[in-house]
Formats: sequence, C-alpha cells, structure tokens
Amino acid sequence: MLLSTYINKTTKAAPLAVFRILFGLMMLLSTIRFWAYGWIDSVYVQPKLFFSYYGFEFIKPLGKWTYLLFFICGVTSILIGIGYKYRLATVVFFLSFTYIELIDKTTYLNHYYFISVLSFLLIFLPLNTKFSVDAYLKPHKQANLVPKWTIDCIKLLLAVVYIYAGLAKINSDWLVEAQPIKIWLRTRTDFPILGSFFSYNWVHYVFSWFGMLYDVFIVFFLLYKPTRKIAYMFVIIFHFLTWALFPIGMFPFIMIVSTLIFFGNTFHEYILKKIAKVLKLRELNVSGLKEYKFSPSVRKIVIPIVGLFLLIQLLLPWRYLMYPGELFWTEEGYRFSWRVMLVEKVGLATFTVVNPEKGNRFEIRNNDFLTDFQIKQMSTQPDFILEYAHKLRDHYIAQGIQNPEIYVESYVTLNGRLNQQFIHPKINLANEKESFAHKKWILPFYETIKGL
Amino acid sequence: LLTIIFHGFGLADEINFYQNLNSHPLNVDEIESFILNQENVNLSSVLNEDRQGFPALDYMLNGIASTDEAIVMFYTGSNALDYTSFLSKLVNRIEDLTDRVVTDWETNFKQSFSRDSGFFNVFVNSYIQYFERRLRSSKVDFPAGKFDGTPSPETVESFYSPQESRALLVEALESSRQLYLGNNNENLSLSQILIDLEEEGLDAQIKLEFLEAQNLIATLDESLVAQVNIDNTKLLETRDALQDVVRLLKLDLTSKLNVTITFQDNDGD
Repeated sequence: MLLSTYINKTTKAAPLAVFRILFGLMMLLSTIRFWAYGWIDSVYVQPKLFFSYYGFEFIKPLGKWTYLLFFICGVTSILIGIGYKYRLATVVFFLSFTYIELIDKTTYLNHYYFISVLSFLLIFLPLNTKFSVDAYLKPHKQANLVPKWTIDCIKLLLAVVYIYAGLAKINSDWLVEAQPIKIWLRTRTDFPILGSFFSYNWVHYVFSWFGMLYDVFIVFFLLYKPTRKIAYMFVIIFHFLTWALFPIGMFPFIMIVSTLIFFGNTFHEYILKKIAKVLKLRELNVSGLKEYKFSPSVRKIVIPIVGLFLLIQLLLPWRYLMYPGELFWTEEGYRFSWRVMLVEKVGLATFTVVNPEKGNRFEIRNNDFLTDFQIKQMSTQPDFILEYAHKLRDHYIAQGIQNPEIYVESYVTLNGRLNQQFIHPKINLANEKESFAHKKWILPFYETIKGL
Repeated sequence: LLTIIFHGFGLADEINFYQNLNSHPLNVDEIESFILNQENVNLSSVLNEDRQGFPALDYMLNGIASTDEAIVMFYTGSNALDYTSFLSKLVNRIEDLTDRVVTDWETNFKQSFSRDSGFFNVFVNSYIQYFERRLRSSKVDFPAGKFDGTPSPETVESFYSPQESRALLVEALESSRQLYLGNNNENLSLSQILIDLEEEGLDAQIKLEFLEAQNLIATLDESLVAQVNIDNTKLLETRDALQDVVRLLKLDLTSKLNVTITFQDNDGD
C-alpha cells in the first residue's frame, strides 16, 4: 500500500533538531520582545473589556497574572530549544501561548495563529531524538533516523501558509489596482534607497505581482533541489523587505528560520556540528541507523490526529465561500486563513444607547470602554461591533436601564475607496445574536472585488 | 493661538495647554473661594484645570453679576484688590503658558517637524483629535446633550457671554479649514498632498463638507445657549455636519495618507 510505505519511510533527524532549536530561540525572543515593549500591560492588563472568540468566552483575562503566562511561555521556549522534557514543554507552551491569544481577539495576527498551530503540531513530532538534553539523559531514546512524514508535515504546514497567502492575493484589488500596496508605498518615499521609486505606479504593481507570485510558488522552488539556494535568497530578501517596510514584528524572522527545514540532511548536520563546536559539546555516540519509532499504540493515535489537523488546515481557509457578500468587507471567514496584508481598512463606529422607557438617547464615547487599539480593530469588524454592543447593553442594564437599545453609525474605508456605511444603523444590536451564520445587518459592499 | 491649539503635542501636550486655557464648563463653585484665598491657590495643579483660562476670564468679566454696573462694583468695592489681582493672575497664567508653548514650537518642533517624517503622523493625529474632541464634542456635542441625552447649555464655550459662542465655533471651524487648505503662499497643505496623490475627488469632498458645516452654523442663533433652549435639533444637525467632516478626515484622509490614527504601538499582519 502506497500510504503505508510512505508512513514507514525514514530520514535523518537533524532537520527536526535544528528546527526545534531555532523555534525555541525565536519564541524566547518574541516573548522577551513583547514583554520589553510593555505590551503585556497595554494589551492584556490595561483594557477594561476584552473581545472573546466565539465559543471561547470562558477564557478570562488574568490581569497581572498574564505576566506569569508569558513567563511560562519564555521558560518552555528555552526547554523546547534545549530539548529538555520536550513533550511536556511543547504541551505547556502550546496551552499558555494559545490561552494568551484567546484572551482578546483584538491582537489576532496570522503570525500568532501560526505559532499556535505549529506548536500544536510539534507536540506530536519527535524533535528531541537528537542534539537534546532528553537524548543526553536517556541514551536509549536517542535516534538518528525519524519517520519522513514528521518532517514533511512541517513542510506542508509552511506550504499552506505561503500558498494560501498567495492565492488570497489573486484578486482585482491586489493585481489590477495594486491596492493596498499603493497606499502603503507611495507615502514612504523617505525609505532608504528604494524610497525614491515608491511614488511610481509601476513600482506598486511590481511589488503586488511579485508578492503574489512569491507566495504561491516559493515552496515549490524550495522543494526542488537545483533552485533551493536561490529560492532561499528570495526568502531572505522578501521577508527582510517586509520587515523594513511594515510593522510586522518577529514574523519575517520566524519564516526565515522556519523555511530552513526545506534544506537537506547534510546541511542540517553541518549546522549541528557547528553549534556543537561553538558550544564545545561532545557528540553523542549514536549508531547512524538508530531509528525513532512511535510505539504502535501511540502511532494509532498520533497519525489520525496529525492527519485530521492537516486536513483542517487545508479546508478551513475555504469556509468563506459559504458566506454571501464580499469577504474583505464582511470579514466572515477571514481569520485563520493566511490572508496577510490584504486590506487597508479604517473605520469609525459611533454607538448610541436608547432608553426605551424614557425615550431618550445618548452617544457612547468609545474611549470610556476601550483602548485605542481595541477601538481601531472594533471599528472595521462586525463581530467586534456586535460583541461591543452586547457589552454596552449589559453595562447599561447594570446601570438600571431596562432593555437598552444599541445602535451604531459606522463607516469603513476599504483599500482606498471612499468610506461607506458599514452596519445597518436602524438595527438594535442588543437583540442580535452572535453565531457562525451570516450577519444580515452588515450593509452590502457597493463594489465588486473579483478573485479568490 | 487657535493654530497652536492644533499642535497638541510636545510641551503643549505635557502641560495640558488646551485644558488649562479652555476647559468648559468652568468649575464655578471654586472660583469665589479662590478669589478670596489667593495665597493658597495653585493654578498649576491638575485639579484646577477647569478653574482658570478663558472660561474663568469670561466669568470674572461677564458672569460675576447680572449687570455691567454690578460687575464693575466688584472691581471697585471693598474686595476690589482681590478681584483685580485674581484677574491678572488668570491673564498672566494664560500668557505664560502660551509663551512657553510658542517658544517650544519655535525652538524644538519647527525644525524636527521638517526633518522627521514621523512628525507628520503626530501632526495629522492631533489635528483630527482637535477637530473631533475639542471642536465637535466640546463646542457642540456636550451642549446638545449628545452623551447623556439631556441638553446642557451651561457647557457652551463662552457661557457668560453666550452671544459670542457661535462666533467662537465659526472661528474654530474656519481655522481648521484653513489648516487643511494651507496658506495661500505655501503650496504645502493637506489639500495639496491629496491633489499630488491624484485624490482630487476626496479633496473636493472634504472642502465641500467644510462649507456645508459652515453654512449650517451660519443659520444658528449667535448664542448657542439660546439655540439649545429654542431648538436643540439644529445643534444636533450641526453635529452631524461636523461629523461628516470627521468621517472624511479620520477615515479617508488618514487612509490615503497612510497615517495611523492610534498611537498605541503593536504589530500588524
């Protein structure tokens, strides 16, 4: 059987060891960076209200204890990096990191979702069979060979990230209008060297088209040995440029190191040798053919989980097809789909509370309830607007207004178009329910964006 | 002065320039005791921001009694010294703060403004913030009762000389418009930047909404206090007209200029 021969194929463990070390290092740096910028306080401690993910309302903000959660992330990153108590460390890292992300969807980034998803996958993979403290302490667990699929599924996840990001760029705004790249580049003429070109129209098109082609095809060039080195040069240039141009934090570096997994065994063994030399580590004497084997009972669980996980990754981004209306406008099915840097949106949402008993109405100042960052995110996303309306409703019920009605005047500009009214202003949001169904009170987008 | 108020950054921000000069409504209960216990009054205290500035001057000159004769009595009567010295105290404080902000602008900001492109962000942000929070909210929304459902004429800007209140609103709006249009002699302005970016349509619309707001304000009673009492809906309409400008500035202008409207730092996608 083809599948069973594939499942039993083995390869060198070195790429997994290198991936583990670099992943641990990147997570540690990300945690330190987030902490050092004071974002734990501004994003997780200061806000009075938090926006939950639908179905995860039981995840509560932890106040000052959030620091502990970040500390746990940092410590487990180190443990993953050195490969000590690897399985426990990945489980705890995944849970604490994901808990942080679930506290407030204001901070949702595809990058963070990628970390959650990747760390979940890593729980099931043998990244500690080589060049790890675990291997050092338990020599019988060392192995030089691992099942090939364990490396391939990391590659597949990376392929999903890139290719889906590329496919999402196949739309008329991106390719025909060069939006939102045009908006972002043309005011950056102060950028070193390249800046003087940023006012030209053709440059916006070059960036847009190159970005789409890069995302769609880079994985194939990384997989194919003769083009691998040159493709990796493109990886470095592309991510370095996005890092310099846009405020996207650690993500470029995470991708630059993650894509090393596409390189062959000799490359990774060379890296491990170098690290060993620099750190003056003694190489363990493992038989070259010692193979990591999942015990049959574990394998019976792990393979279906990983298979199902990858299937979900492949299907989830297409769920937007089940919603009517323009995806970029409604954002129904937008998250968890690798839609990166696709839209430039600014919104203005003004809420009015009506007291039906007295018949009077008054307007809300969003600053009284939300941080600037939350206001910005809330103003362009219908699920935020609804959740905020519900929080306002509950607040004013507690203040003694019976059955307060909540209305919103909201306007959004999308990819350089003149602002349009976003939410039906006559709908009492206090009575609307959150669900996965289409939100009928989102006003239709008056233009069409063609494409995927 | 109004043009300086747009620049709510640098020293002006640190010392709460606007709040010290123009917090209305005036916290009038404290003023009387201030006048008689001047030694103990520290106008630099944050707590006293709404007990000084132009609203306090307005009260001292126009609101302390109901007739001009009665007001003059305060400055000639037995406590005249207290009243005149508190008056000059108020004036001196306005003058001092203004001098400091002007100096700060001319020494620190003018130069870094032309050199540092990040300043443009700050500038556009404080311009829009002024328009939304000071011009629209303080001068119109609060008197119209937008935030609590009950009109409150006592929050009108020059409450003790209400016949001036519409003129103050007109002046603030015209200054904002001029800032958008730029000086005639200089070809650099928000309007010009939009034109250079081939966004003439948006530029025309912003200019139009400014004019529409101005036309509507011209139909208001010269006293906004009277306007609230006679027909508050007209003030609410004014707010809507101003909100149309806010919408274009805050959404379309910032989007086209790639200016972020929040200073809270974080990563994006």
